[in-house]
Amino acid sequence: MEFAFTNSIQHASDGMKAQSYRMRIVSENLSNADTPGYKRKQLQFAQVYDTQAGRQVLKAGNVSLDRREGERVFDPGHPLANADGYVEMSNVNMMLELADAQQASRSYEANLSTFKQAIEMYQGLIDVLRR
Amino acid sequence: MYTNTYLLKLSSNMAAHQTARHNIVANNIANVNTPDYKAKDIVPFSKIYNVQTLSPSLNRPSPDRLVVEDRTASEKPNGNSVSIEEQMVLSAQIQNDHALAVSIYKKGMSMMRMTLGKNL
Repeated sequence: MEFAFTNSIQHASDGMKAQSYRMRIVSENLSNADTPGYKRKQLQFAQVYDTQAGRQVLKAGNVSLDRREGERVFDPGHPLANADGYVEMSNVNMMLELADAQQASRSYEANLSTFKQAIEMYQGLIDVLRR
Repeated sequence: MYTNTYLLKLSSNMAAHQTARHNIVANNIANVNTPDYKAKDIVPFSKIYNVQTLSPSLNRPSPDRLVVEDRTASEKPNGNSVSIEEQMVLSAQIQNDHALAVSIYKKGMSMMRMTLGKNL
């Protein structure tokens, strides 16, 4: 059922879904920060035309891997050490991931407050019916 | 010309305009991370409606031109031009303007009721 603020609410929920998917990717990266050989994941945002919904929809998808080399640590006793005694650790940069997490959280809150405003404005409209 | 129905019609058009603007701002906020997405805004109410005659203004843009790209917004390296801070300020303005339009409408209705007298 469509009403005046349908579009606002749909956009806000698209944004919230995208940002929470982004948080998920960040937490996966952070939890694997010490896994040897782990490549961090990256997310792409795009606006695609969804034929089922009949409008432009924000899609957070297309998870790709950051192919940079991880830090090489000298540890001959490690089971995964190569011939020179080096182990390649993950290429996750903690600072980068934490900053990303903070941005995702901020954007999520912005979308949430948009949603709340839409609801409040709609309630203001319904209020007119009250005597 | 300044009848009560004029007031009701004007305030309801103002509220509808604010609703459309809120839709656009919500879209901007959702797309804050999309590469190459440019922030959009709506043509101001004064350009769309002719307040004298309360009909669509003669030189208003066509419906597909009502949403314009915000050219004053600066671009980030990935081509996105949405600033969350600006959009949040805009949405606060929209909420206030919408509340203003709705209270004008309510006052118009209560004035009507007053003229009809206490027996109604």
